[in-house]
Amino acid sequence: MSRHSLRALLPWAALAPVFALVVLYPMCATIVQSLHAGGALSLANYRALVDPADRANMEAVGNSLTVSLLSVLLSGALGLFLAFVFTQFRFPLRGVLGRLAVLPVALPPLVGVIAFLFVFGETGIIPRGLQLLTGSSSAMLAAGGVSGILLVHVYSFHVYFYLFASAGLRSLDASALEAAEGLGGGSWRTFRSVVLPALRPGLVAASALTFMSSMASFTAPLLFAGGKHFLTLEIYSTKLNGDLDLAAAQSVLLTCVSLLFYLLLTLGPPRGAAYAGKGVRPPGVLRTGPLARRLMVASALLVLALEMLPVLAIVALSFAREGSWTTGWIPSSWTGANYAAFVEDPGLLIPLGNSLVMALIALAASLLFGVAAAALVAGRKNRIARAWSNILLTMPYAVPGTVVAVSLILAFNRELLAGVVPVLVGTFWILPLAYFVREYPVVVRSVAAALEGMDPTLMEAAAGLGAGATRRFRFVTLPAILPALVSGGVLVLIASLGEFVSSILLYTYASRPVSVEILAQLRLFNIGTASAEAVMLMGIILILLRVQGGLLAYDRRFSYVL
Amino acid sequence: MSSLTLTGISRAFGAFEAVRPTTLEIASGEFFAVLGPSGCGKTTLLRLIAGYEPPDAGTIALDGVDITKASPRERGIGMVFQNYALFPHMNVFDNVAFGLRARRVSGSSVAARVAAALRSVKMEGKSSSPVTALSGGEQQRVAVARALVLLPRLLLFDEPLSNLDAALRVETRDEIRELQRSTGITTVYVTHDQGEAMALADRMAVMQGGSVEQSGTPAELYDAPATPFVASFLGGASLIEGDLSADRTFRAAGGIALRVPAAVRAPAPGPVTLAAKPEGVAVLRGDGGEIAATVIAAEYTGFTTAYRLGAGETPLKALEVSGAPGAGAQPGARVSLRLDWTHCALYAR
Repeated sequence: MSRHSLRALLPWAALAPVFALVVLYPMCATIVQSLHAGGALSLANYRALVDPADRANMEAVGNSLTVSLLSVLLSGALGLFLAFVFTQFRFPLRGVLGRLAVLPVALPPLVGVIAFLFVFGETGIIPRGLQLLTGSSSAMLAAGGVSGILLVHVYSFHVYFYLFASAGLRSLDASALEAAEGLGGGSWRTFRSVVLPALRPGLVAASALTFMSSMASFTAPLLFAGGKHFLTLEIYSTKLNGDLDLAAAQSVLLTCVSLLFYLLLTLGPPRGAAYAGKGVRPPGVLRTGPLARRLMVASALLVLALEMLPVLAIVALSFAREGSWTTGWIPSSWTGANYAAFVEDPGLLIPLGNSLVMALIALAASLLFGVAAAALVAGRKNRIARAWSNILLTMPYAVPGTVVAVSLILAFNRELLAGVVPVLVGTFWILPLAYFVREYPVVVRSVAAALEGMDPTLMEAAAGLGAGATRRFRFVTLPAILPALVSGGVLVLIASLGEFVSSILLYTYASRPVSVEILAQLRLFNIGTASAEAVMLMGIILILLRVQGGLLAYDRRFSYVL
Repeated sequence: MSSLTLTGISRAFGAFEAVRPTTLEIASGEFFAVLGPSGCGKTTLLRLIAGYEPPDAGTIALDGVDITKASPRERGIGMVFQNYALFPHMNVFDNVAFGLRARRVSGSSVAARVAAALRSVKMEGKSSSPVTALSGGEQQRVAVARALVLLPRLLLFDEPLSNLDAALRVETRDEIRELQRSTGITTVYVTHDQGEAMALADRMAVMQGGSVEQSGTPAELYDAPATPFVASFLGGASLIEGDLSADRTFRAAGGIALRVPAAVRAPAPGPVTLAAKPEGVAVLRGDGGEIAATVIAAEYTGFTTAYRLGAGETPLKALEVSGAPGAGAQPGARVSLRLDWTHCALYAR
């Protein structure tokens, strides 16, 4: 074997053991476990999943699918509408508001759901406010149960559609629209026959992403479902009941669905049609009547205001005196004590500190592993080999957090390799490991995209000018991938800081993360403390986003991630 | 200054032979142009010389020393890329200094040499500008300075003017020629523009389908093209396939029958190709010519008028100095053509 091909194998050799241990092995362990019942090889777990007599499982699958499908439809409608208004019409503050519209997806899942609960839940501000206003005997327009879950999904996931559709609408070719109108098409016909087809690739991607995220959604069902069954929730409770075999089978089922949509997402139609033409061109704008325009702008702004409410509410509630929010539509008494408590008793800051430390560990591991993996992906000359190595190396992106947790439990609840890998379940290390597995794909995708976008002649020029491999990496490659590295790294940090779905199954009391603590405070009805912790978490995230170049970077984030 | 010798060098990508076995000798201090249509292998040839592609066979020697196996960094060859390949995150100075720093040249020496290189391309005032803020022409100069500053033994240009607008192209072309004369660096210049090649080169090669069709001075190639392709690509000649009989008569479709004068070197009787440069085809308004033809299109460009003509099915091109206003033949006009054999040649098929 030549020196050259040996060198090409080096990254594989470095990555393969890590990848095998923390990604492949847990997946295999889960599949193997799912095929066992009471210690013997059996299909009993899968039979239980489709057993018509076992209502819970069937209902869980049915509910998850239904809610996911509805989430796609409603998120799509709302996201498309907002994107349309924000790209097609001019009105004051459009730029700032347009960026604010992506805020929901920046919220940690638990914080988002809780904030939503405070405003729209059965005892939330709006239903109780309406009740007081109208003198009704019960809360009005309260979101709860399936409708509550659906609303939370739409609240978070419409942003995917918003981002993809705005990118598509902004790149619309004005001449194509003018041509369509010149040929006699009305606005609606032009929209249907010219605009929608141009947006289709983005909409397919957003649909796949929303469906995947809805199937994987755990926090919303946990807080809203009441007695209803959902797949993620079912895995959680099966695991808590100690039936790991069945939990494994449920996990395999959920992962298969997710992977299917992940394939659709990555192998689907290419997004971002290239515009061929010269010079600066005006964005394409559809003609609309003045009344329709005003109506659409007004309703978009109303939606945006409703979107901002939960965030504002959680900030306000962080100043609520504990126990003062009983029957009123808002707390009756306000105080700064919730924050002062953190200063007086630094012990209260432990969960936040835990989250920070664990997120930083996950970040370091993600950057190291992610850059190496990205180099591997971008190094494939063959387009198909590149796509598949990308899918393989970023597979955990498609695995729901609940499943990641279950698979890590199944994989690391015993010593491995004759004690080289100790038992990790029940230790501090299992959480950073889970965060790493869940979040490193973002780094791979962003860095691989940056590497693939690099002009290959730059490396040739550097080599021709006499630069060795180290100098080429330091002075040419690194500056080119740095924005992607920062961007990916910040996303890993943000997601790990607020991670809840895996944490709730894996945490130990000593290393409990801030999300778990927030939920614990909420369960104790310490609304002020829970809110204050959530606000601090959001504050850190906002600072990180500023580092990354503000909320605007979210536009770019999704072009990297997807 | 170095001489470059390519011996039987070739490169294939899968089944596609980008460069067929090629032998070229480029003298020290020479400005050598490689001319050909896109896909002819000229850029691959350049990349073989620079070391970015390994040859399948053959050797490359610089001053008689075999460098076939040397890496690009060991060759000491400067290259100016078609897209310039400037490092986008660096300013002008850092781009030009990159190669010097990679060679661990001391800081004060770097500053002096970069300043001199920028002066030679008239960019001394832009040293701290980010390269992304420069115009195409300025980026091109920085790319040249970045290659020149290392005092390369050989300078390679890959279509360096193709991204510039027409007026700037002529200006920059003259500057490149000037710079090459004053530095005396042996230069290989790849282009698909025959005007550029002829204006710049001491000697040149015309490539097609991965092979060199002919090499020599621009005048040699223009006046005595070795193949019909060279005649048509370099001289814009019309190529007419026909037959040459033993009595030196050339016959082709469209009722063409021409006596070949005794002074014209002709191949053996049989199937031949006639290459007639536009300036060798006179358009007569009457019947005095040898070929009856119809004017298909007339392009009046001021000093000259170019004609597209049809002799039956056979297309022909002609170029004449425009006469008095309105003297040009109009499309549809029936004319007759006479060949000036000093601008025509016959090739065996």
